[in-house]
Amino acid sequence: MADKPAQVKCVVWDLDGTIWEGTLSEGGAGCLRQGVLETIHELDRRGIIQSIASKNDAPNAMKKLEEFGIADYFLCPQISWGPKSAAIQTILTTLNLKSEAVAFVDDNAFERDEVGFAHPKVRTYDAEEAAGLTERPEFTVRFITQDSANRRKMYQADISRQAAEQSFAGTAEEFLATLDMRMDISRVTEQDLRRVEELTIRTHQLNSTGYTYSYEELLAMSQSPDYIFCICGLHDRYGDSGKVGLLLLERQEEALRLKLLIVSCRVMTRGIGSALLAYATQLAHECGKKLQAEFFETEYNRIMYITYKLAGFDEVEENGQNILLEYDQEEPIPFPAYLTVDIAEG
Amino acid sequence: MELQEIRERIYGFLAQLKPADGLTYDTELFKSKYITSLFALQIVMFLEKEFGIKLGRKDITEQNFHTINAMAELVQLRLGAGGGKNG
Repeated sequence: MADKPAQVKCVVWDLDGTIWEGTLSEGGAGCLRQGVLETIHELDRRGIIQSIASKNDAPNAMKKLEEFGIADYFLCPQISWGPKSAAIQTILTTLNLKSEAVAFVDDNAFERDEVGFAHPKVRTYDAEEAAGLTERPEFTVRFITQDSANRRKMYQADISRQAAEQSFAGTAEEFLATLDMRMDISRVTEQDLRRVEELTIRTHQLNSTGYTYSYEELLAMSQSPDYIFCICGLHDRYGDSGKVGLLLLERQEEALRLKLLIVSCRVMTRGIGSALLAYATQLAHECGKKLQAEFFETEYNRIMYITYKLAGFDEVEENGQNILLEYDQEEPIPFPAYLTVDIAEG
Repeated sequence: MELQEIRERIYGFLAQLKPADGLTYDTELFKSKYITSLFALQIVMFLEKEFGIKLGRKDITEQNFHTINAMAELVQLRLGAGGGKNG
């Protein structure tokens, strides 16, 4: 069976000849190209974020986008006379995306090749294909969740937060304390399952095992007494980040076995993985069991391994990419001081 | 690269993460709660980028990260063995 193409999370648009007809600096841009507006709206509805890489005068181009009423759809637009490969790199860094999650649409074959050469995993499309993008499997999402509909606003809040962090004079820890972060942990219910499935499919870097489960399996685990299945949300003074983390523990005879720890990459530097891990140690401590964690090493998830190891977990078994870690400290890990945690019993 | 230089660069980075009052090269970073695992992650990323080294799974142990001195020795070892670039 052929692998399904990885899902596109971000579409980067060219402007001249792609989003609108003609060239702005030559008096063009009288109207949007056929089908583009519908595509932009539909991608946004699906939670696929959008940006711009265009060689243009930035103030004029932004003004034009505002006239068309679509300026707000684009996160960190890159409008300059520099190479588009560099624009794409800035977008990848700012939005914390991997290049295989990005699609680039441009009517100019040279630009597509220049981007493709620097970022071989970015998928490139001719402007002629723009109107049909939403029909393609790589742009199709199985469910539209509340989080997907809000994704653009959440990324926008992330960008504001990053800008504040860069201009913050104190240390990283002092900055985190200014965010007034609140994490809520609750048991997964049926209403959460679509977001749960979305997180398991979309998350690669902060995913301890990469196990994927069918909707039915997820539902069964959420209702089974053999599992503790938690989802966590995050909120801070810049806004709501939505549901950003998952923790799945299996009750075994002598141990709680951590099967899945997933944190959305958008909140990577905010300590949610550590906090969920701390919660797992606290749960194990309460029921007097040891805590073991399955880890499946992939090309992307080394960060998760580091999180475990430096939180005090040791490797107790290794079988190729399958690793079993165990937390063998007396005391559970406390929640970090910069985070307020609300736990809903269930 | 001299151990002293490696230590100073690591110290400089840690001081950006958290106020470095009383921090020495021998401070027990985990026991003293100076490092939480959130920052541990950022430290690993920093070491790899700053010194142009690649740390393997076996390098990621509390023992190699418990003090600035321990980290500096790990970096020096990997610089020697892996042929990482200076600066």
